[in-house]
Amino acid sequence: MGKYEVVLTVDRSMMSNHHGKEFLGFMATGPAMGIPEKLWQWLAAPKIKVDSEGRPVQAPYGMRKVEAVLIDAGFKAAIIDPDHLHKHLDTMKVMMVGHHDYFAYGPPSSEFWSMTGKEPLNRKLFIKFMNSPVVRKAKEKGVKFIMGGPAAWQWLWELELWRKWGVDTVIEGEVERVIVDLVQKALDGEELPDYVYVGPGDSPSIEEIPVIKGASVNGLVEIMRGCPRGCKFCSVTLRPLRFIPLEKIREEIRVNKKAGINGVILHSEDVLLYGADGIRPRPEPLLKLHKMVAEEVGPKGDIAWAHASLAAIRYAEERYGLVSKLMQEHILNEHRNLLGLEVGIETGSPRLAKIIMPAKSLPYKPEEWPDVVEDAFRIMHENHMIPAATLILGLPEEEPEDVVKTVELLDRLKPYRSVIVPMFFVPMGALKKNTWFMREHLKPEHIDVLVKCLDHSIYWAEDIINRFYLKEPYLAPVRIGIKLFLRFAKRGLKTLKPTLEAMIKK
Amino acid sequence: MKNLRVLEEGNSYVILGFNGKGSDVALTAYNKLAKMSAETRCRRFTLFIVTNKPSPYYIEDLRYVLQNNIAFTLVLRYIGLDMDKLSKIIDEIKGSGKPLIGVVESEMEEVSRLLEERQVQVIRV
Repeated sequence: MGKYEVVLTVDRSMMSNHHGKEFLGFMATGPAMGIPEKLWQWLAAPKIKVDSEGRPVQAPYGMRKVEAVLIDAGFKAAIIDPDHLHKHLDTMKVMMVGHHDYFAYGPPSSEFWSMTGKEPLNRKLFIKFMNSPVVRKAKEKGVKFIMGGPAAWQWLWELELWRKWGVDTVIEGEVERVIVDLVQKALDGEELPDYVYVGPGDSPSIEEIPVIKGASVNGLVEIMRGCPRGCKFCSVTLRPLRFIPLEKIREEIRVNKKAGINGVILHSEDVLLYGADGIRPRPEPLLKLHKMVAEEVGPKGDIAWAHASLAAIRYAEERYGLVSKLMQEHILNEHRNLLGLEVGIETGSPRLAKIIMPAKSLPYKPEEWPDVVEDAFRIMHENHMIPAATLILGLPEEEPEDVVKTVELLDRLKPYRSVIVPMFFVPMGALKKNTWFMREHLKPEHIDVLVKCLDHSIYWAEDIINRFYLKEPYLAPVRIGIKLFLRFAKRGLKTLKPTLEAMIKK
Repeated sequence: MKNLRVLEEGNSYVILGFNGKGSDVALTAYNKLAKMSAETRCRRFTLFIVTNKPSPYYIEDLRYVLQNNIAFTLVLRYIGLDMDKLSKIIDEIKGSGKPLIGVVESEMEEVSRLLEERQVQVIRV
């Protein structure tokens, strides 16, 4: 007999700690390649430990925030693992789902999809989850379905499934200030809106953002919201910039520690802008933050950054020696020998950089972009920081010369330890039709980029695995699985160029 | 209809009426919202959808606008072609004194008439 009337849940691709290695989670954004799908799924998203009620020990951070708001408001609410939903069928009145990529329309899922022509695992698992008998039963019983999270927008492209599955409301944006009332209306049987977009003016204040009550996946903790770069196309930049106070960050780390997670992923659009002066990093808040984090997790705890911008990395190091200082004084030690993070290169062309991301290079000029990227990569390499970097190909205003510049930049980045993932700008219509986008839109100049990225990433992935990653004895099977995949990718590399060239000649 | 707290407080209302020309109506409405927002500083809008398309399929016509909106809080509520419900909602909003306009496809004369009878400004598309 369950006791929760509001249940937050999601499919397995999200409800997993990915063996404690966040990067492995990215495998869920692709289809199985070179190994059986079951093994692929186990590598990407193994089941998570749960208690007797089916509450996971770790859960996605965004869902933890919503759970905390609802519990604070007095609701009987909990995050429940998808395999244990049946325990709450008799009490559940509202089912809330949050997702990073419901239908694999986001990066890098859409790229894997368009390159292989196969549906990514995350999409398959989500569809399977929504079609599962327990979810269907919940709908039959009149449970209200509310869908949210960063990928809520994808529902706008899946109206057939929206209707078929009986989704009541899709909500986008930061929901802390508004979700309590929406859930109350659902519980009261009031008429719900079909769609809600929470604009930047209704973003929660620092005081309205609660401390999570249960552990987040791999100890992810948010340190700021918003971004000061001011890119015109981006909604994040319209939202107020809020730095989460150190005390709140500490509290969340302790919630995670209590659940046995001795590690932290500092989450921000740009970690180096914590406490920054506009887009210029400042040493004091960053040093204080990292000192506190290192003290909390102790010498054996992991520390990672979610994202950082290459411009901020270069500026912080050139101006203050700050990256080296953070790494030497607070992060690296005999147990912590790397810091993983995500960065965005997007293009090697200053011309294109000026058009699509004029603010990304600040405080440097877009004309300096390739130098900014290389310097940042060098700084990261020297400091044992391992970036997973993205590139975007096929942007509407892209010219062949822009791609050549990207190829040149890739050559310059060869000596620096990193994984570089090329992403295609894929129009939504192409994915909806489930067509093999690459076959129709790949241009000769893109092939060099794809081959160079794969070559670069395989070379460094082997080095990373041999020297830094998956060293724990209990992760030996995962290590074997990843090595199998790398072997498959290496074989594929030999034939990739002629295959792609033949493809575009057809 | 009970309003959502916060999102439907201090908001403005728009009745969108469309059958065939939904995307034109949505675009016209969005431009009007931007103007209203500049004049009144209102950043919250509730859109009532009057259409022959079933929910949620009408969203296809609004998708472009919804995907490109990053500035305003938007709440979409579906009415379908239930004119009694529409009349009730218009009366409720008028009673609340909140701003209300209609953006209606020219062929949907009944919707425009309902609004104009209640002194609501209608933009015909």
